Parts: sequence; structure tokens; C-alpha cells
Amino acid sequence: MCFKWVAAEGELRVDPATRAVDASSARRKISDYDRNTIEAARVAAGSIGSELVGLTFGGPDARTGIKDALARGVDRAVHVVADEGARADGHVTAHVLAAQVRRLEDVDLVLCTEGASDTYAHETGPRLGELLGWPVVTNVRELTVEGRTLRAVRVLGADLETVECDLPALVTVVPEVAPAPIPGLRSVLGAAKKPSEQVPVADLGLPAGAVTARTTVTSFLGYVAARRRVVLADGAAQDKVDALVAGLAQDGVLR
Amino acid sequence: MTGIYVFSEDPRLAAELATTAAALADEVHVVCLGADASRTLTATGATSVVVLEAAGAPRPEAYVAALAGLMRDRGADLLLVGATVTGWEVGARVAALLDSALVSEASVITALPDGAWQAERVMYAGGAVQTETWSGPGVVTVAPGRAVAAAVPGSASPVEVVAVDVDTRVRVVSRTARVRSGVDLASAARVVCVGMGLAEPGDLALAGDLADALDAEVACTRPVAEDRGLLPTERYIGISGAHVHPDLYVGLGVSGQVQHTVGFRDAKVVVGINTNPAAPLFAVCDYAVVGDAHEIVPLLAAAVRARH
Amino acid sequence: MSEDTEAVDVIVVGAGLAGIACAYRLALAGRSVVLVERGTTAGSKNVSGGRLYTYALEAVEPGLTRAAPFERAVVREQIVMMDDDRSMTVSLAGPPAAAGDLPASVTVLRSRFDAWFADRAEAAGVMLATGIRVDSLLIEDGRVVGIMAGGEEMRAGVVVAADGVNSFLAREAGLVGELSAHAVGIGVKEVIALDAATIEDRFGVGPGEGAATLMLGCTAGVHGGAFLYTNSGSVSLGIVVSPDQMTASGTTTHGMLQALKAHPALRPLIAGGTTLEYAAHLVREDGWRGVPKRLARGGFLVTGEAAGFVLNLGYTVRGMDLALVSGVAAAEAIVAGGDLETAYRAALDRSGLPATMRAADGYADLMGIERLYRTYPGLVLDVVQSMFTVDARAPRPLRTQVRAAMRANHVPLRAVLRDGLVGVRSI
Ligand SMILES: Cc1cc2nc3c(=O)[nH]c(=O)nc-3n(C[C@H](O)[C@H](O)[C@H](O)COP(=O)(O)OP(=O)(O)OC[C@H]3O[C@@H](n4cnc5c(N)ncnc54)[C@H](O)[C@@H]3O)c2cc1C
Ligand SMILES: Cc1cc2nc3c(=O)[nH]c(=O)nc-3n(C[C@H](O)[C@H](O)[C@H](O)COP(=O)(O)OP(=O)(O)OC[C@H]3O[C@@H](n4cnc5c(N)ncnc54)[C@H](O)[C@@H]3O)c2cc1C
Ligand SMILES: Nc1ncnc2c1ncn2[C@@H]1O[C@H](COP(=O)(O)O)[C@@H](O)[C@H]1O
Repeated sequence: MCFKWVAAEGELRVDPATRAVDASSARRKISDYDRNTIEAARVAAGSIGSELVGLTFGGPDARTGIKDALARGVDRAVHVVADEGARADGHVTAHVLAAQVRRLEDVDLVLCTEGASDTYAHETGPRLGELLGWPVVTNVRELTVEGRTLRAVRVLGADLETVECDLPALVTVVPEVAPAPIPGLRSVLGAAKKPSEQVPVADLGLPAGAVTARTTVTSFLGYVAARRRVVLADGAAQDKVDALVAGLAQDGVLR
Repeated sequence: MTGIYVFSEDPRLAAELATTAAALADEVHVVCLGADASRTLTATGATSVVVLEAAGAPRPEAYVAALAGLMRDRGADLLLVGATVTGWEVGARVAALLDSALVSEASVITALPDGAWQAERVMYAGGAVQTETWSGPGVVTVAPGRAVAAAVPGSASPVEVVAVDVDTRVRVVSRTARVRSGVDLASAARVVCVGMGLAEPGDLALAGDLADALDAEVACTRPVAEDRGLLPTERYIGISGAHVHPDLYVGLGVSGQVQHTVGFRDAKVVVGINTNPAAPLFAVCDYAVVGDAHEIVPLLAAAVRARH
Repeated sequence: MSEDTEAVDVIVVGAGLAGIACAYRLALAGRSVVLVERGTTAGSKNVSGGRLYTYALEAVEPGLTRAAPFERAVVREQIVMMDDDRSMTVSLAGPPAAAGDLPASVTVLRSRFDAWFADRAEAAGVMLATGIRVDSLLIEDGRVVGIMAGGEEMRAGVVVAADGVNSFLAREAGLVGELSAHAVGIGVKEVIALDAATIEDRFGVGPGEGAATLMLGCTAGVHGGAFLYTNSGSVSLGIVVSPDQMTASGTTTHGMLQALKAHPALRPLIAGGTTLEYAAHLVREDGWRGVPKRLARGGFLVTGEAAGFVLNLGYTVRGMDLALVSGVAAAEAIVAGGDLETAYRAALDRSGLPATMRAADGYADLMGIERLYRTYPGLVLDVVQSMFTVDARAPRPLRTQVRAAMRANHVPLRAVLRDGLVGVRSI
């Protein structure tokens, strides 16, 4: 399964004047829904008696994330260490992950999350599947593997679609596929004993074109809400309600 | 420049994409699956409509290689894909086959003078806006509702049918509809949004009553729909749900994570009711009411009714 | 789960400075140690002003200061006396330290510092488990034999409580009772971002150098004081006060801090800075008197602020250095074996901690003097202001000025003498 180590979106600091974003003091975390994916992958791997490898591509600080992923149930972790300064877009990320998946032998199933909490691009999984030449099943909320056949329930807007395909396959999952339990003491301590491996991108032997971003970021601006923020905190509930209704009436938004 | 290709499995969305594309290039080709879809799309004023045809009734995702092949053969610059669950997959896989750029859910697309492209998209679920440029072929997904569906009276684009091979490795076993309420939150003038702070079974009546007093639609946050199953999924607002732009949004027991709040950014007036004075929702509110929704909501409904 | 983590030599609860120091030293001595921390990373929950005396780091391991990611070496000490709108600053800059000399104190940011320290402990063999909250002790036949966390039990030869102020483990072990309101102060702190050049400019220090500023008279008459420490790219501003007087003062700690930020003496120092974080935390203020009679029982001992090892001197708090040396002493006691209480007391005595704390005991009396927090700062400011006031009249003798100021501030001479006596005795 693939998980991403990202900055906590709630801790980005935005300069209200320039809208410049400072992520340096934001804590890092495993992308929220990737935690559900780890759990789904753990269950799936258990059901077919496979080893579960956690795969991440990111800077050196992703090391902490590796420990967390191991505590959450990954048997072994591979951290492809991103080149300092090089920017990865979906194109680069998918090529790197595909190269690393090929290096692991006998992979039956790769799970990604539908979207990561920083990019939410819905891109990496299907791109990766295509590069591997495997069938792709996206947006899955139920997953079972029997023999060499995968059966999945996809969420398509207001419809649920059940599909089947043979392994190996790439599946992207939605968080409802499994809850993400908080790891306990033994799991956390056990994580330190599980194997993990760091692979420099260069060791993957990818051609330059595969590791050169297709897109260039020319601007990155934080969002600054321009709301009035009238706080109604004190006094009796009725007073707050009266103040609110008076305000809304003045704003002309009541019918 | 050989024009923009647009694709969506949903003909209405394809027609919207045709509008977006027409503003960017002289030549717009609409790609669709099956003759039915082509009938509505010939009236969009597109340069041509390309129908991909295969035996049986394959799922749209089965056409990925065919679509990529078409792009490559015709030397297409840009493929716009409707950002649905299917469109996300199709767009990303086509980009992989073309080894090209992809911009997900672009809000603004610009053709730069030197033949390069530029697009804006949100990052961190709405915490930031990123502008990206690229040259060479690219795929851009565009969310529904970004443009008015193109309809050029009297126009009849030439239709070209291309027989293609499809990928049948993924087999559809069944398809069922989840509960639908047929609500169109996007056009609601007032929205009462239920969060997990007001998501016990009995609480829904409270929210319903306030919505009734305000003549508002009831909406919710993602966990209320997806985890609790209290309301149909098309009622949840946010980056992965509905985008709304009402005159009034009232959040009841909503914490205000950006993934949710990005969905009502265009609301004229935002009200939050939450017990926690530090709830992130209050940072993006016009009125922050600190209090228990169980207590405030009935009073608010009564006060609104008293004005009628 | 493999057999070998089923039982370990020692479980240390709390990855603050006491816990990390203890676990680190035990690992260096070859013991198997599990260090359990409820925060997602070591240091994520810890609040400190941020001034750390380096002798304690050296006591953990010689050379540690040099390796540590501290913010700035303190080279300038300032005391500010203030009332609502006036202030007087005494600033002491020492002679330049000889190259190679260790700074006597440094500033640290706990999230960065503790994470580094915990990393180092892990590298030495400590098994660190973060994101785990210890719920209770496992006690069998009157002996502590392990812990319970999230429904899981883990056994160890010794459990060390390094869980900070208001240690519920020490309470569960029966070593301490409930904390009284008089025993704790409340501290609030903001970290305000400022770029390095601005800091060096405003505080008159060079690159890597910092200032420690202590403030009196800014707590609306409530026991306590404020501090301002310079970090690399930020300053830490905080107030520590006694909560039992807060209600009477009619303000909140948050309100006090906001008022302080707007004070003319402080505003220019933090102008243009953005607040990075805000935190509130308790801090013991009963000194040596608050240290429990027994620090250990079978299979269990308590260290750091959990054992009351902190000195709140009103204008400055020393807890981190005492946490470090007591953590080391705990490790030494466990390694020494035998009766834990005896070995621990001996190790503590060698560290000099009890002597330091006893010497400061009188401070509690000094700090108990109400007038220190509003009246005296006002009095001093009145006197100094009159000294600097020059007009056409003939200057009055200083003695007269002081008496006038005392009258204006309603302080009888008797009270001043009594307070002075307490002060002299306490030092
Ligand atoms: C990639 C990604 C995509 C996502 N997409 C979406 C999306 O599209 N839409 C969406 O909604 N979420 C989405 N989420 C989830 C989102 O991050 C939040 O978890 C979710 O919006 C929280 O829902 P909530 O506010 O209802 O619940 P909570 O966060 O649990 O908040 C409940 C609130 O109720 C308050 N409360 C409790 N009791 C009371 C009371 N009696 N009266 C008043 N207040 C009370 C509490 O103080 C709290 O603030 C997404 C997350 C990710 C990572
Ligand atoms: C505002 C303020 C300013 C201060 N300024 C200074 C200063 O400038 N210099 C100085 O030397 N001292 C200062 N102090 C005091 C100093 O911060 C503390 O005395 C010192 O941090 C105590 O260290 P410790 O390791 O004993 O405890 P802590 O640093 O408090 O660490 C205890 C750890 O235990 C963890 N924990 C608690 N319960 C559990 C549990 N059940 N399970 C798992 N983990 C648990 C906590 O998360 C925490 O990480 C200040 C204190 C405050 C409040
Ligand atoms: N750098 C990465 N390393 C590992 N997995 C990734 C990485 N980037 C994306 N993914 C996976 O792809 C999913 C979707 O990412 P995205 O397409 O960027 O929204 C993530 O949730 C992960 O499962």
C-alpha cells in the first residue's frame, strides 16, 4: 500500500497581507485517509496470507511516518527518499512508485487512497496502475480477495457498483473502507522491530524524463477568509439568538 | 495547435466542458461513448464529435487506452475531462499513457501566448491555491458546474465514429442506486448543515424544523452521511461532496475542517453554532454563536418564525 | 509481539526531560527501557518558558550541550519593573564568553529540543512509544510490576513516573495526595515569530546570542511574573501566576498576557511578530516543601516535576534542569539496585538537587509578599521617575522622595522593613 507523509493542513500559516504560506512549523502526518487504507490493506493482506509492504516516496522527514505506518500494521516499509530540491508531481510520483513496486517481487495488489490530504488529486493510484499495466479499480468502499479474484464495491456518486478483476490489480479506496484505529502500546513498540528500507530515487534507475516534473508551480497562495466573525458568546441563549436574527435580517438573508 | 478534446461519460458535463474549451481554442472536439450521447453533443457548436464505439456496453473506464490513442494520433494539445469518479480515473490513466501533465479539478485554465498552458487548483483541500504551468500535451479535470452547457442553436457538428478496442479486465457485476433525495443543494438559497455535534438520531428533527422555518435545505458534513448514514450522501458539503453558494449557511455542531468549509466558501453569510469557542468554523463565520445547538436551534427557529 | 518486549527492565512514563534523561542513562547502562509518551512526539505537549541551565545537560552526558539543538546562548539578563504604563529595565550583559566556553544557560523550544533528545535516547537503545497514554499502574502484592495502557498491560522490574506536574501515577502509587491550589501556579505562553536579525537588533545581542528578560508588576497584583526569552527565529513570552488569586484580580491569565503584549515596554520588542502557538500549563510552586516524603516504593519511583522538583522563584522558573538531574539520579538508583528509596536519595544528594531546592526554600516566603507584585514596582518607578524629573524647583533629597512615594503607594515603613527582613532571610 502507498501512503504519503504530508503537512497538517490546519497548521499552515498564511500571511494575511501577502497570502504567502509557511508550512515549516506545521506538524507532519500520514495523510488522513491513508490511515484507513493501511487498515484495509492489513485486513486484505491477512485474508490472503500476504506480507503487507508500506511504500512511501518523500523527503527525509518521512522517517517518522514510517514508524507510524509500521505501528498501524504494515509489516515492512520502503521509503523512497526524494531528491532534495526536485519537485515531484503526479507524473514523477507514479513513475517512482511504479519502479519500486516492480522491484518488490510477487506483488498481488497495490492499494492507494482515492486522494491525499494535501493534493487530493485522485491521480496517483490510477496513474500507477496504468504504468504497471494492471487493471485499476477506484473509489472502493468494500474489498474482498478470493483466490486470484478481487471483488470490490465502488462508490460512484449516488450509485454503488460491484466489480471484479483478476490480480494483480491496483485499487484506490475511500476512507469508509475501514476505520483507522489508534495503535496500541504493543503495536507501537513492535514497529521498531519491523524492517524498513530507505531507497534513494537514483537507485531506481529511472530515466531523467520519468523523474522530471511535467508541471511547474508558478504560484502558491494561502486562503484568507474575509468574514466578519461577530462572536455571540455571552449572555442567555435567547439574547444570542435575538442578536443573530437581527443581524441576519439586516444582512437581508432571511426570507 | 490542433485543438482541445473534451470527454465525459456524462453528456451534460461534456457539454459544459465544450463551453470551457471554446473559450480557450478555436477547435474543440467532443469525445463521447455511444450514439445516444453524440446526439445532444452535436448541438454544442463543437468542431466535431468523435464517437468511440466498441462491441457490447463497456464501462467508460474501459476506453482509456482508446482515448489516449486518439489523443496521440491526432496530436491533441489538451484533454479536458469531467471530474467525476470515473473522470478522475480516466484522466489520470490517459495522462499516464501519454506521460503528460495532469491538473486535477482546475478552476481557471489559461492558454499562455507561447503555446504553454496554465491552470489553478486548490491544495490542502482549500487551504491554498496553486498555479501550475506546462507545455506539451496535458490532461485537466474540471468539476461539474464550472460552466454553462454549450448549446448553439442550429449547430450540428460533424460526427465521426471510431471503432476501438476496449479493456475488459474489470467486469461489472452489479450496480445499485443508494438512497437519493433528488436535492439540488447547489441552487439552494439557504442551507442548514448538520455536523457530528448534532448527529444523534433525534437531532435531525431539530435541524429539519430550523430548515423549515428558514425555508432552507438540510445538508450535512461527510461523516454524518458516510459514517452515520443519517442523510443521503448527495447532501454532504465539501471538497468531496457538494459545492454550495447560498445566501445563508448555518452550521450546527460543525467543527469546520477546511475539507468541509471549502464547499460553502461562496456563501453570502455564514453562521456557526458550536459549543467549542475555538472551533475552526468560527474563523470562517460571519456570526459565531457559542452554545449548545440543542438549546439554540429551537430558539432560533422560533425567532425566525416570529418574523413571518 | 515477540517475547522480549513482554517484560523489560524499566518502563519510564513521560518523555519530558526527566523521563528522557532517565531512559537514556538506563539504556547507556545496558538496561532494556521502554519510554511511553502520550503526545504524538516527545515534547509536543510540554510547556516551558525555555531557559535551560546547561550544567544539567552536562550531567546527563558530558558534551551534550554542544550537540543539542538549542536556540540561543543567553548573554544578556534583563529585569523589568513595570506598572500599567511605566517601566524600568535593569540590563546586565556579562563579559564576552571566552571562545569554547559553554554558555551557562541557553534557550530551547521544547518541541524541537525534546524530539532531538528522544531521538538520541532511541539511538542508544531506548524503546520509545509515542501516542500512548498510560492509564494505570499494575500493582501485585504491594509491588508495582508494570503499567496498563489502552487495555494492554506491560510488565517491568521498575516503573518510573516522569509524567510531569500533577502526576497521577505518583498519586496512584500513594506517594502524593491531591495537589492543593496553593501548590501550583498557572503558566501561559506564546511563541511569537520574529526574524533573527530583528531579534538581535532589538535585544542587542549577536548571532546565536540571546537575552532573558524577566518582568515584575505585570500581573495585576497577583503573585507571579512574566518572562521573555529569545529563540532563533521567535521569542517566548509568558506569565506564571498563582491561580488562587486570579478570581479576585478580575482578569484571566490570557487577558494578562494580552495586556502585557500591549504594554509600552514590551510592544516594540514584539512588534510585527505573529503568534505561532499559545499554550497553558500548570507549574508547581511549593518548592522543597512540595517534594513528597517518599519518592519510591517497591518497583516504582517518581522523578522530575512529578516529584515536585521545580523551583518557581516568581520571576523565573527552574524545572528543566532539575528534571534532567533528577532523571539521571533515578537511573543511577535503579542501576545501583538495593532499596530504591535509599539509592535514589543518595543519588539525588550527589547531584546537589536537594541542597539547591532547600537553599531556595525561603523564596516562597519572599514571593508570598503581596506588595512585590504591584506596590513595590510602582514605588520604585515613582522614586526613579522623581529622580529623573527636572524642573525649576530645587530637587528634594532622595530620602524625602522615597517617603513621598511610599505615602502615595500606601506602604508604611514598618511593612517595608518586615518585607525586607523576609527577603534577607530568604536569600
Ligand atoms: C481528503 C479529505 C476529504 C474530506 N472531504 C470532506 C467533505 O467533502 N465534506 C466534509 O464535510 N468533510 C470532509 N472531510 C472530513 C473533514 O476533515 C472533517 O472530519 C469533517 O468535516 C468533520 O465533520 P463534523 O464537523 O461534522 O464533525 P466533528 O469534527 O466531529 O465536529 C463536531 C463539532 O460539533 C461540536 N459540538 C458537539 N456537541 C455540540 C452541541 N451540542 N452543540 C453544538 N456543537 C456541538 C463540537 O465542538 C465539534 O466542533 C474530508 C477529509 C479529508 C482528509
Ligand atoms: C509557563 C512555564 C514556563 C516555564 N519556564 C521554565 C524555564 O524557563 N526553565 C525551566 O527550567 N523550567 C521552566 N518551566 C518548568 C518546566 O517546564 C518543567 O518543570 C519541566 O518541563 C518538567 O519536566 P518533566 O520532564 O518532569 O515533565 P514534563 O516536561 O511536563 O514531561 C512530562 C511528560 O509526561 C507525559 N505524560 C503525562 N502523563 C502521561 C501518561 N499518563 N502517559 C504517558 N505520558 C504522560 C506528558 O505528555 C509529558 O511529555 C516552566 C513551566 C511553565 C508552565
Ligand atoms: N509520495 C507518495 N508516496 C506514497 N504514496 C503516495 C504518494 N503520493 C500519493 N500517494 C498515494 O496516492 C494517493 C492519492 O494521492 P493524490 O493522487 O496525490 O491525491 C495517496 O493517498 C497515497 O495513497
